[in-house]
Amino acid sequence: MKLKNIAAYFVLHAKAYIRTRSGVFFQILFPVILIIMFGFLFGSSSVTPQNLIIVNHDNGQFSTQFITALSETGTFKIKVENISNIRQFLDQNPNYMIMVIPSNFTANILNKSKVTIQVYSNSNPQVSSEYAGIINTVFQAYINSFNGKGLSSSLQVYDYSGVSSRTINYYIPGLIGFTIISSMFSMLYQVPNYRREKIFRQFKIAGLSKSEWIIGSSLFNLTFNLIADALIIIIAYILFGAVLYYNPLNVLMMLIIIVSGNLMFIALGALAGMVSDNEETVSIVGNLILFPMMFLSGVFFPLQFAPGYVKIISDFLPLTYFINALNYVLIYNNIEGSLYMIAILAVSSIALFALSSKLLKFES
Amino acid sequence: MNEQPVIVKNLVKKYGDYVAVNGISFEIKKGQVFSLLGPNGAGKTTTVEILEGLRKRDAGQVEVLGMDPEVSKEIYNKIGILPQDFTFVQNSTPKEAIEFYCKLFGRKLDPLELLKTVELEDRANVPFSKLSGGQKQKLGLALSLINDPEVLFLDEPTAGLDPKSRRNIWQIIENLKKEDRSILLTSHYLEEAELLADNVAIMNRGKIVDIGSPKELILRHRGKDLLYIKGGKFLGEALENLGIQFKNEDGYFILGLNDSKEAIEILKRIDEMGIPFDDFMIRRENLEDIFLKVTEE
Repeated sequence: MKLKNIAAYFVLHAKAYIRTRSGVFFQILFPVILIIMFGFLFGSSSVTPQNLIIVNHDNGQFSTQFITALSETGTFKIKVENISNIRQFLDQNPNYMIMVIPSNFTANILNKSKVTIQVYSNSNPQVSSEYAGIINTVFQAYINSFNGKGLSSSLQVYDYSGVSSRTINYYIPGLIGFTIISSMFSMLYQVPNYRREKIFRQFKIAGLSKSEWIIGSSLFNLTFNLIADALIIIIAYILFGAVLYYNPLNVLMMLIIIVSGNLMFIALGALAGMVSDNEETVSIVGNLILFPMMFLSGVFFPLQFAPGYVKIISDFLPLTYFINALNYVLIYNNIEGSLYMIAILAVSSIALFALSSKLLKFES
Repeated sequence: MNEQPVIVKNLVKKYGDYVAVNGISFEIKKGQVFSLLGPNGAGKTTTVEILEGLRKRDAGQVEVLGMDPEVSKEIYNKIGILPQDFTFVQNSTPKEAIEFYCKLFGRKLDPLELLKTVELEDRANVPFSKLSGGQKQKLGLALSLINDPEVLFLDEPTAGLDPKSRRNIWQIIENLKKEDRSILLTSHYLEEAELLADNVAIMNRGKIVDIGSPKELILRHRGKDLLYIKGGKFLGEALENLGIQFKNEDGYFILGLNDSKEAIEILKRIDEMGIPFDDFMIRRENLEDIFLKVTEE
């Protein structure tokens, strides 16, 4: 693989692409329009505080701290009560959620044993899953704060301000995912088109290899995607007050996720393009890939409360790892938790790149 | 220097049961234009693509500049290829396409100078999609020259072009020939082959049915010269009375001649009989007639 060949294709394709105004529109301006649209619809408001009843069987110091931390997020209107029949209560009060803290909560923290809480809801799963996600994030952060520090530091003040309740935050990973999927579509159209027009044959004659072409395409799309993604984040921050983690490490991890995701979807697009031998099948194949991923990868809909089989399917979808990794890095500031997802993304992207380089044929 | 840059021996290519190329053999000498002629489906493009290393052969031996194109990637640094209906990235310009090829081949050329050789310098910055058919072919020709090739494969370079563009491309090919490059040219246009080619192979149904210089082929297969006389029914009756055999086509009476003097004799006798005629001409069989004759046999 020669870098000069990759650069040559990058320059050729970028110059040609910039002349297609519609392409530039869809790659850069369309995601920007979406973030502005979502921002105006949801950006100026916070998540409406949710009524949360906490059934605290513990009454120890850690459960009290945890309740206080949860309260400080501003996301919940909290009442601590004892409810005997949870199901009946929720049937009568669907706007409430109930969190149960077990009697061994404090003891288990002290013993470094597994600590569990239960969350019950009877409302719209999309709404409740979002709130459950916030409870989970606060809970995980609280528990993680004990690990490696020992009980001596248990009196520290926990900072949960980063777990913002602004709705706009949750659209940013989805829209970044959207820009990456656009790259896949560009490949899906380009492969059958270049094959039919015998442009691949020209590349072969001129000495451009298949892997150089895929890498060149990936770099080209990455450049445009990074511009679009930067605009999405800047607009969401300036206009709608999105709260994300911008530390150098978070930004670096975000770049790794985007680079891996970009290569993976470019390779996936090339593979899908191989089975699309005409323009009609291109849109069918594209939609077959796109729609399950949009709905089952948590792009715009959280998956916490999805049925088990949906979660199993989503575990096999590459976009799930992409969106979740971005959520962990940008919103939850949980770098450690994102590492296995990034590893899966990196391994999948290399495997798909190798497969597409092997299977793609430049000859007609 | 390779005196026989292209050697093909008993080449066979099959697609399933269909034999596209059936045991053909030929050689191209250095500085020679060799033309493969044949109707659609004769096997010309398959043969050329095998020589270009873009298709695998089933049997036979192929050498291009001493290399086997099926194996050697090095071959692309020494040959130039203009495929049939050349296309490129739609929104790229001829200048950008040349810069791209130059980077890949590691050559430093002025794109405008190269475009000048194919008379395309004034379209250097026009997107490919907005070029005419002839201009696209000229760009393809320019790209095929970037690596300064010893052998050029030009597959139907003038197909679908208007007469002016066709003649432009012929002139460019003539110039390439003067530079001592060997050229394999496939064409539908017999006039093109007759004008440009040193040697011609006529292909039909995967086989070479005859091979030689255009002159040799004409001499080998030429029939009688033909006298065309335009006239009415009295002319037909007069020719019958004179015992001359003829065909009637598009208002012309067509007579076979044993020699040119016979034409003068016939016209004189018709004139003496007082039969009017509007026009006459003598036509000698050209490569096209030979091609039709050979491929119909």
